Amino acid sequence: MKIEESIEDVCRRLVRLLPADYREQHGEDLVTTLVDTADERGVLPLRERLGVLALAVRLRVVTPLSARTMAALVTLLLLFQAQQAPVALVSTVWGSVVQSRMDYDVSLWWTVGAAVSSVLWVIAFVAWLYGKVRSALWSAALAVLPLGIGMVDSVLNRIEGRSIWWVLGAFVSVFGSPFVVWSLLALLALSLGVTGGLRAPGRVRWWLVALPICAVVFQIPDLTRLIWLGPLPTWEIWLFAILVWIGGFILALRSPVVVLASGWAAALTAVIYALDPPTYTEEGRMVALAALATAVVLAACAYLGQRRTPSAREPV
Amino acid sequence: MSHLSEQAFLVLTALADEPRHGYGVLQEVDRLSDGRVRLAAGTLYGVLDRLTRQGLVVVDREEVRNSRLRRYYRLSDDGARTLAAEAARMESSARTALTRLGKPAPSTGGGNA
Repeated sequence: MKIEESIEDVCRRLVRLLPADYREQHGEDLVTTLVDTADERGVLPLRERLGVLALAVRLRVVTPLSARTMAALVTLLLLFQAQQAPVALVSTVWGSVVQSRMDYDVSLWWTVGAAVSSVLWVIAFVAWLYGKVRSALWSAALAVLPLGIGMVDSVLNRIEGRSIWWVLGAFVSVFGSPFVVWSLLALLALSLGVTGGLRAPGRVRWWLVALPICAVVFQIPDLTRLIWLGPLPTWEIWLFAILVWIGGFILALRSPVVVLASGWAAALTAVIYALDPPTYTEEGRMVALAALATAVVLAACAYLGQRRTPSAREPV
Repeated sequence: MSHLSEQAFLVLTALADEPRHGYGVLQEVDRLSDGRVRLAAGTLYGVLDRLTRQGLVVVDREEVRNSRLRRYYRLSDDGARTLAAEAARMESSARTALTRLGKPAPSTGGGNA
């Protein structure tokens, strides 16, 4: 009897590894089953301990990338692409690329391509919000096309007298830039979302309101660069990150799924900047670090938000 | 409809004749697979959670014995249909494989696995 009590304690301690809401639903039942699997000496086999550990990892790490989080992530990636439209259009009208972060000559293909591309991203974003997934996918695919042509054209304009290695290096550099990677990532995520039958979460009007707000907020770093004619100061990068943390904290109770998806987006940002050549500059390193910290903070906010309001499933 | 994993198939099969609690399902899966598949409780609850969310398994009842809660699970109508369809698909695949190997397919006496 004493042994049985002790095995029950062991099982309860093990089950504590599982998330609280799961424990609430299945904890007692699982403890009973685990106690039944104990051997004749009243010892819980290692495979049972590992089984619960694997379940805990799946519920805490894999399940957060559930369908709803993926849908929110797709929407965020499309929002990020669409918010660039105003600046891209203005740049085209002025005949120069205000937003370009690259140090090579700007071709006509690139400026016009960027503008057309950004408008197509807006169409893709709105179509996705209204459930017109096929239209969204087509618009996104078309949005990537002029961008690609513009990029190739930019390299070809400077090809004269260069070695084949220089050309290859230029292509890798151009297509590995965060701007292009984000576009391809958004297209890939949308394709996966459409294949998986996902739909934009939350209310359409809130996402539409978010579009102009993001269009303004995301231009702040580029405006800073223009004003100071140099890289972003470290304090501005961290200030930006802290503002996102505060936003995540406020939004966590209302829509933990969107906050969690924002955390994934921040993690992707960290990876993209960590892999990009600008990482060798102070700015690239700082952006990667701030994005990583943001991913952790947002994931924690989402987790706490979900725990405090388990029924809060409707994001935004 | 996507195919069931072997674990999910065995769990559904274990619940096909009567509702069972967690440990009962573990034992039945062990028996059905001749000891080849031995699910850990954590793995079983992961599978049950997924099957419940898909509407293939439902909770039949709860019992408290010796101050321990036992939850009994059973197949839903959808679960029974899915299991039957998967069994038929597997039977058809097995027949094809045996025919190509030149071995006679064992008679199942009516088509259901």
